[in-house]
Amino acid sequence: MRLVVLYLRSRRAPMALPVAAVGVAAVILLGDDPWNLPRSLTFALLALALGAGVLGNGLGGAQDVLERTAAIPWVRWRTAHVLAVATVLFMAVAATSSVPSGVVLRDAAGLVGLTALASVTFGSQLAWTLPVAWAGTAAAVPALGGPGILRVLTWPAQPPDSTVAAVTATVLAGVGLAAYATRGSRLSTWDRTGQSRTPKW
Amino acid sequence: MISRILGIELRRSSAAVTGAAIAAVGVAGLWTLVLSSQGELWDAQWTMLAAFQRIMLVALWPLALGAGAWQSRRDRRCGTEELLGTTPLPTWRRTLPAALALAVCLLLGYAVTLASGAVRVLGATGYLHAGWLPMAGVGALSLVAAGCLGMGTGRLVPSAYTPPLLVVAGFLVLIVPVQLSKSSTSGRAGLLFPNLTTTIDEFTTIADSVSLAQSLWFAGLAVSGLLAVMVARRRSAVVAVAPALLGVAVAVPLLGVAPASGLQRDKGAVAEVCTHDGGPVVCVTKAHEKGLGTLVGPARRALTLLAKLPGAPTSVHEVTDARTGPQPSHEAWLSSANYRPGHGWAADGGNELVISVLAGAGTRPCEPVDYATRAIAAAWLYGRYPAPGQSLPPGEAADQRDSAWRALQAQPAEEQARRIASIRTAGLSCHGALARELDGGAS
Repeated sequence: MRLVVLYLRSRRAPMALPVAAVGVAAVILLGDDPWNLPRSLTFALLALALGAGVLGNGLGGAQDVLERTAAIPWVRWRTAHVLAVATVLFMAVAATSSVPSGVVLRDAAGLVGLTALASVTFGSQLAWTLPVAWAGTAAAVPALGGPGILRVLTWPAQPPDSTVAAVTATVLAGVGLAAYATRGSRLSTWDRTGQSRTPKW
Repeated sequence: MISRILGIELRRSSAAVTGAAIAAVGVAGLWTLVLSSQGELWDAQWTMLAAFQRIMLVALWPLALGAGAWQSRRDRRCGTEELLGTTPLPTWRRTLPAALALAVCLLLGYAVTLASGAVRVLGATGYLHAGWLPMAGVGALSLVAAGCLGMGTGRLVPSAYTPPLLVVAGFLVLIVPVQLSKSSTSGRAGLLFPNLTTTIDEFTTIADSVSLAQSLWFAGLAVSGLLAVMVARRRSAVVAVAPALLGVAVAVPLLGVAPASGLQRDKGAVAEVCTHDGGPVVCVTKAHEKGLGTLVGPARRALTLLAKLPGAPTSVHEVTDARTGPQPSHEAWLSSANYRPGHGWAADGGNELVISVLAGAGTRPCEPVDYATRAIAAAWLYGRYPAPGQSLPPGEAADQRDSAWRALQAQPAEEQARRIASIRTAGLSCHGALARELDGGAS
């Protein structure tokens, strides 16, 4: 139990959770409309983007190199962390938005997968980039039908029965989770170079 | 000194990556439309390309905000904020080069997007002009303003959560007015937003006074962001509000004199380009100049067929929907809607194009458009019913048109010609119902 508390503190959860909760609630209160599903979906997407962006910052700690020397099963901890973020986001948005919970589940899973992927690729400080950019763009442009590639690109805003969107979200969630569980966040430049390289002089 | 540091910032800061990301999103936005065969939304004319890029700002603008916020947190992120704070250089000497580097890269990203679209527009239109440059310039300036504003905000609120929150806030600012307004047009206040919300056609451009007002407003915003980045103490960042307020104060009166939609006719695009080869004159708009060659033959055939009528027209002119009548009786008018950007005038050996000119006996469609009567007039002049391109799916509309055609055929030849001529007369002035003229004008 003590380890869980310490882990959450090292991930800045006491700060991130309230920020994400208030932000998600504010965005959904601003534009949710039970009689207008496309508009509710637009704002639910922005809320999910905000939540994923804020919580994604916690996918890395202050000193990842040091942390990795700890003898704890990191794969399990990281898997649990990503799943917890997805669950929190899903519950926060599903509870406040009038979008069908299946769509919220699909989008939350896909966007959290993207967050994990961005964290592995760019580092936890930049984990917000992919989910926020993709969800925001999908919220801003009309969901396109037509050829498959367009449906894949606008997957977060596709209608509930879209198979393409469901598959895309599942793939993103799976790949993101697997990559983050095995590799963790990309280390900062300082961690990668500053401590291992000996001065040349 | 500044230029040397600027060079370092360009190479080492996140500005280059930001510019590349903006270019990537922009190019992807333009070309996914081409891949889904919706390229005609932007590839027909320079103004349309510039306008479409302004539409895409709905995604690019928030991203630039976030990139600015990310950039300005660099010192704190690397743990060098205090160290750099001890140097005797004034704050603005440290922060200005980073802001300039970001601005340069955002401009480049915007320009690359424009260039990737220009390749296609260059092949689609022969109408080269500079009227679209202000539209593109305002878009690029608004992107720079977003970058500066993001940097300023990042400086004032140096939290790790600032960039994502700012991007979402940017999306909200651009989306909420569209989503919450009941009507699709948001009026003059909507012109203060960087993005356009509708596509424009090839004969429309943004009014110059609107572009001027917008550039002043976004310049004010950019200066505000820069001031927030450059001031020595965060408390003195209050002054940063002043340029933005000044920008609004200047822009709003300027927008007041512009049309509410901000759009106006592009006079250069609707100017006529005519044949000068001695034959009957055929004219198209400057924007459709490339289609003149394919129109000449069918248009002259149509004029020959129209000669059956008394007082027959002697020239064919392409007209846009906005062209006000009355139509001179010696001209046959062809609606611009028959031209498909990228495909030209309707093909099939020109027969369908002849019918398009003959529709309504050489008049343009008037609201409410009576397609059936216009089609019958064209078929009568062409000498075959249904004429090429006129077939309707079986149903009530087809039955009604067939019976109207049979009723016309039951009349003596002179009466038929008289009725078609009176359809033309009604179409010239856009007054009176065409169907009544077809029935003989009695009832």
